[in-house]
This record gives sequence, structure tokens and C-alpha cells, in this order.
Amino acid sequence: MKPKSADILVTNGTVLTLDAGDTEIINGAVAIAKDTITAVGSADEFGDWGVSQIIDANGGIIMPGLINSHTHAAMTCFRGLADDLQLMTWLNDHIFPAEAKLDDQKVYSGALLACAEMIMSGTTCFCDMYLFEDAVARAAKKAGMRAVVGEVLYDFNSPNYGPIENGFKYTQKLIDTWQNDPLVTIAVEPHSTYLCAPQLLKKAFKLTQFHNLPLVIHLAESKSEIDQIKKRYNRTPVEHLAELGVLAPNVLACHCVELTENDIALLQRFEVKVAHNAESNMKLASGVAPIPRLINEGICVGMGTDGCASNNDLDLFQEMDSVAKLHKAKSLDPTVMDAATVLKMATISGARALGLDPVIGSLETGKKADLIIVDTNKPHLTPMYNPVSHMVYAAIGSDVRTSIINGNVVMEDGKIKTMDIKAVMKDVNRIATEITTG
Amino acid sequence: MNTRGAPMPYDLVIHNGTIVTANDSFEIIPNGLICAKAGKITRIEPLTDNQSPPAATEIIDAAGGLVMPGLVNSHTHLPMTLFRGLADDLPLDIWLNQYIFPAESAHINPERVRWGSLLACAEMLLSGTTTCCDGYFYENMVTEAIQTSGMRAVLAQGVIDFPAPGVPDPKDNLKIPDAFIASWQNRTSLISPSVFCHSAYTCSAETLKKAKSLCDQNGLLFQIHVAETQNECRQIQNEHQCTPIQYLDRLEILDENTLLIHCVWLTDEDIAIIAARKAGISHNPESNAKLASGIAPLPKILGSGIPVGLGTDGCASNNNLDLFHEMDMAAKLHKAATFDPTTMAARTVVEMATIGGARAIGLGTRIGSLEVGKQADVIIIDTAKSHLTPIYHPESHIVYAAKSSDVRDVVVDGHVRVRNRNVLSMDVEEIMARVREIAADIRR
Repeated sequence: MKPKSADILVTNGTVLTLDAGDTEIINGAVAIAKDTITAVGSADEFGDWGVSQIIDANGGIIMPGLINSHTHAAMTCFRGLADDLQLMTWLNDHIFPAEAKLDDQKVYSGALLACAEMIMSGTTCFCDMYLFEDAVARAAKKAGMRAVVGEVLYDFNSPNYGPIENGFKYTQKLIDTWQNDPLVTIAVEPHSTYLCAPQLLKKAFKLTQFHNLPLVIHLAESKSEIDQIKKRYNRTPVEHLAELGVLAPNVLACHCVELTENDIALLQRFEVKVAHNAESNMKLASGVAPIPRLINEGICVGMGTDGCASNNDLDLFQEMDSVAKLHKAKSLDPTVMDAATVLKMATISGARALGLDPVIGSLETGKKADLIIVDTNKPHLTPMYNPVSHMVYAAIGSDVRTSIINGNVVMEDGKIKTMDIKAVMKDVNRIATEITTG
Repeated sequence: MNTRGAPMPYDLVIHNGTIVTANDSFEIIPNGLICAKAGKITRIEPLTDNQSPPAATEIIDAAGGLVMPGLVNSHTHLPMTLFRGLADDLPLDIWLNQYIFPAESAHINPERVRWGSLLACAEMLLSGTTTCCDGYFYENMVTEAIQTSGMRAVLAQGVIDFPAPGVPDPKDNLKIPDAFIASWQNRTSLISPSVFCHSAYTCSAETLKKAKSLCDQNGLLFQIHVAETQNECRQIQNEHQCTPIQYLDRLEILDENTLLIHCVWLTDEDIAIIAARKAGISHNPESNAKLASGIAPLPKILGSGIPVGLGTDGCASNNNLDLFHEMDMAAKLHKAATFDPTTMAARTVVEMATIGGARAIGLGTRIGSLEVGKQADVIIIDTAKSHLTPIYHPESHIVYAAKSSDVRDVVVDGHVRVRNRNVLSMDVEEIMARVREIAADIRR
């Protein structure tokens, strides 16, 4: 017996549920009570319901909020700081010196700006890896965004916590502070196989097992990484993690560009999750990840934007289009990475990659109410034969007008409600001046 | 007129923005001023902090945003907005033979071409495109739409040796462009007629030469899809024992008034030939990717001095006409393809979408950069946005961060056609409604 009341009814739109059957409901509606979806169906099913707030989708698309499965949110501070350079020059001459100037306050402001940008382009959940991650968590909370955050762990002194023992202490503090938060969950995030000693990797993994958390790591991003690990350990980065016992279903491997056949088999065997960052991989000329192959092997692949210094936005609509096209060009096959597959990557697969698929990634009764409304009354979305196709090949981030996260309306009619966006932009502009002059 | 009844010194003044000129030295003027009179830019210079802009009939305060040349879309099939998202992710022959050709055959008529083109114009203006280079059928109707919109365009009637919309007998396929040219030649400075031969495998040598000759007689641009797919190259190789470019060269089709569209599968020798003949190229990365045609050797092409413009192709293989996303794709795809993160830098890509496109379509002396003496085709980008904050390098943001929806105002030939994201020259709601009606019919 369906309940007959709701806090919010989002109605009068085409509902893309992204459920197991890819159900689409024309003239559909979604009912929300507190933070949960209580019903999804035809709009006229809800005619006699008692509803506190009706949100009219005006014939647009009602769909799950997009999930950014890999980013460095506070790098908004460095958006466009340096482009079109050789990797080492970019890192050593521009990025590292800029990052050395970061502190808790700068990370908070940068992350808050990132949240604004993400909300305004339809992202409702992101997975972050960076420095001063408590600031990122606080920014996500302020913005009302769902987030998986984790402090980057590596062998060298961190501008945040110094030596690695403190990094684990900082991570433990994150876990303790945020353990009951409805929006923020913590991950343990060792940077990579080339910046983390085997001991560090094993300790990080152990911590995730103890607390049942994801482990997020950059993996097999470039030929240079492959060469380094081959030299040091005489195996591939994926094999290296396998040998250390650090491949498991809770591991989110970001990038996975350079993979051998054996690597793919290992990822599949251990049910490792993958975050695909196409635009960043292209921009840094890292290569093209064998994503169609991974998906064919049943590996769960989510979508990420990476940071704003190698994209340079956090727009998952553009990312979806790029993903759909890149692999067609690479494989000379126009049927790979079709619109439905790509939309899944940005929603339910991203949720699964973060271990959050029981609660988000699709519009289904019992899941959390993370959804967006896309305004399709635009020349570039006219006519519309196939909504899923349009979301990938025609829509742009700014077509998202309304965003609800955890049942909370964080943006309505393009206006973000959870922060003073002008003040946030002013803040980051000030930080940018400091970075270039300091 | 000012209040004293004397004529205004300028029709249009734009101030309080960072001007990205796209001139030869890619000059960027922080806090710049542009003045235009009778459709031409007459002044462009920095303003000091205390200086007020001069008087003008229309003054646009760029509110600290970016001011740049209107974008040039060097390859479109405007009426194909009618088929936006009709069929995707299919093998090429199925897409063409089971969806696109039947749809064109059943649904393309003059009235629908006009509405589809009007929609395309609305979309282009709202995304900062001020000039397009189009090729289709019933091109006289496309031209009417362009005229209504106030956009600038090179517009080509399509020629093919098969029955086509408006040309049921291929024997008449040169009569239509002949009439089209007579109708539109020198009628308005905003519109240049042109002829578009579909390809070397759908047009005979005779058709190609006659069409090129028709263009030469009238001093017009000749356009052709070429070397788009490996299949095409194989076909030409089998029939003529050479590459498509060599074949066109044999027919003396290649010169500075020829636009070669796609050019995905080129040999080094092909590139040398194109460069020597001074032909232009239209590069369409998103369409080439979506149809899995391949990745053009763009860095090599640019390296040989060939004028290259950026294009979106039609809405059935993109599926929008958004040159901002196209720029981003062009910048990234070739970095990935060549494993070189320094290739296709932001400045190069901005040039391709502006002055490169202008040169490739034969308008390089008149548009494509903001310089004194050129036509005032200008767009203003609102940068007070979260995704454009902070800003270090304007050209970087244009390519890697800006969205088409950041375009706030659009000026063509000194006339404001979009103000605050409102299209002034057309009723966009009506156009969308009519296209939806047409689509309902197509869906059946």
C-alpha cells in the first residue's frame, strides 16, 4: 500500500530511473519523504496525494544526480593555471609550487567553489582525494552535497600532516569525526604505487577492511608509472597491488589507462572498481583507457573529471559526451560506448564504484533522494526523440536547473541555495591572486 | 543620433572586458574598447582605468567578461536539426541507409528546411557562432532562415549524382546551384553562395569539374566531403588507383577557393598537395569520432600551413552545433592520439574556431579576428561563473572551461542579435514549437 503523502513531489517530466530495467516514465513523478524516495511512477498516480512541495519539471528530464567518481575538488584554485605542457614541467614548475601554498582555508574555499560548480552542472555526489580533506568534508556539508573524501597518503612529507604516521592519524580522525554523517563518508586514499611504499599500501588496505571503507588509488595512469613499477618491483602496478593483497571489491582504481591482459583479468577477478577520467587522460596525453573492454569483462566503471587543472571543469555532461566519442574514435567502432552505457557510468555505476549503490545512482523506492531536473526547452535539445541520447550528445551542464540531494533542494531554477555563490567566487579569486603573486 | 541631433561617432561600443583579438600576434587587451561604425570595427584599444567609453548608439558593458570574435562553424548541414538524436551508436551503413537517407527522403521539404534552419540559427547564435558554412538541399530556404537570423554565412547548394531533395533528376543537379547563385550572388554582404559536391564517390568527374567551374566563373567557394572514411579511400583507390586528394588534384579541383571537409585519412603526400594548392580544410572532430570515421592528422595539417576551420557537421552526428565543446574536443583528442600534451594548445584551437575558419571559407580578410577594418562580429562571454573562476589565461578558459551558455551577447556586422541570452532576431519559442510538430510527424 503506497503512502499517500510526501514532502516533495517532483512531477511533470520524463523520469529516467536508471534502474535495472532502464525504466523510463513519460509524464512521470518522484515522491520524496525526508531524504528518501518513497515512490516513482506516472504523474497521475499522485493526483490525490498530500504534498508539501510540488516541483514542476516543466516537461524536462527527471533523473538521478550524476556521480563524479574521481576529483581533486580544491584544485578549482588552479583552474587554467597551466595547460598544454609536458607532464613533468606542468607538475614541477606549476602545480606542486601552487599546492605548497595550500592550507585548510584555501582548500575549504576551493572545495566549496567546486561544489557550486558540480551542483550547477547536475552532480550530486563526488569522490575526492586531496590535502586537508576535513575542509573538503566541511565544504561538501555546507553545500549539501554527498561526498566520499579521503586524505592523500604518500611516502613524502605532506603540506598538511607532515610524515605518513600523521597521515594515518589524520585519516583516523576523519573516520571518527564523520562516521555518522548522512552526506559525508570517508575513504582511505593512498596516492599511487609509485609514491607509496608497499608498507603504506598494506596498512591503508588494512584500515579499510577494519572500518569497511573504500580504498581509492591512482592506478596505471601512464606509461611512465608502468616503467617505474617495472623497474622497482618487476611487475605492473596492478600486479604489484595483487601481490600485496591490496586488490579487492572495495578498491576504486582511478585511471587504469595502461593495462595488460593479465591486469584486466586481475581487476575482474578481484571485482576492483574503476574510475574513468577521459578528459584528463586526453589533456595530459596519458592515453586512452580500454574502457569498452573493461565493461565487457563485467568490471564496474564509473566516470570522473579529475581536477580542474587537467580538464578544466567538473562538468560530467561534457565528460559523458567525450567518453562516448573518444572510444568510438579509438576503436573505429561507432557502436561502442553507446548513450545508455555512458549514462549508466555517470550514475549507477559511479554509485557502485563508491560502494553507494544501495543508496544512490538510480531513482527507485527506498533510495536516497539525489536527483536533478534537466530543462529541455532549449534550441539545442529540440527536437527530442531519445532522452538518453540527448543527455549524452546534446545536453550541457547548464541545462540542469534543479538539484535535490538527500531530499534537500540545493538548487532551484538555476539558483544555488546552500551558499552565497558570489562570495565564494570572490574568495577563490583572492586565493588565485595570492597564488600568482605570493 | 545624440541629443543634439548630430550623428553618433559610433554605432556600437563595447567596453569593460578583456579582448581576445585572435589577430596575428594573438593580442589580448585587458580592459579593452571596441568601436564599430557601419558594421566595421573602427577602433580597438585599451582603456585606462579612469577613461569613459565614447558615445555610441548602442553601448555594451562587458561586465569584466571576455570579448572575442564570433565563432565560425566551417561545416554544417543546418536543416539536420530536425533529426537531432534520431539515431545514434549504429554502424555507418545502417545509420545512413536505414535512418538518415529515408528520413531525408520522406521528410525534407522547403518549409521544413526553413524551420530546421531557423532552429539551427537560434542554437548557433546562443552559442556564440556568428558565421557558418553550410551545405544542403533546398539551400534557398536555408538562406532565407540565415537572413532572418541576421547571421553571416557561406551557403552551398548540394550536388550529387543521385536523386536528392528538390532534385529528383540528377541530370538537373547543376541547374539548381546555378539558379541559387544567380539569386543570391552579391545580394547582401552577409551571404555568400557556394556549391557543395557531396563527395568524389557520389559525383562523377564530370559533375565535379562542372561544379568547380561554376564556382570559378562566379568567384565562389567550392566545397566537398573528402577522405572522411577508410572505405572512401579504398573505393577511390580501386577506381582511380590513387588517394581521394590525388584524384581531386588530377581533376584540378584544388585551389584557394576549395574547402575540403573532414580530411581524416590523409597521407603525408596528400597534406603536401593541399598545402601547395592553398586549399582550406574543415575539421570536425566530434562527428568524426561519433561516426568512428577516425582521427584526422590535425597537428601535421596545421604544421604545413593549411588554413583549417572547426566544424560541427550536422545534428545527427554530434548532436549539437556547440563550438565550445568542439574546441575542447579538438584540443584533447589530438593530445591523446599523439601522446603529446603540448599539441593543439589553447591558442591554436581558439584560432581554428575563429580566424582559421574564416580563412578556410574565404572570409579571412573580413572576419575571424577583432581588428580595425574587419567586420564587427563579436561575442561577449560572461565569466562571473563558478566554472570560470578563477581566471588565469583567457584563451585557456575559452577552450577548456567555458560553455556555450556563457555567451551573453552576440553582435553580427555591428548589429546586436543576442542580448543577455535573448535572441532578438527570431521568436525562438515559436521555432521550437514548429520543429516539435515536424518531429512528431517524423517520429511516425
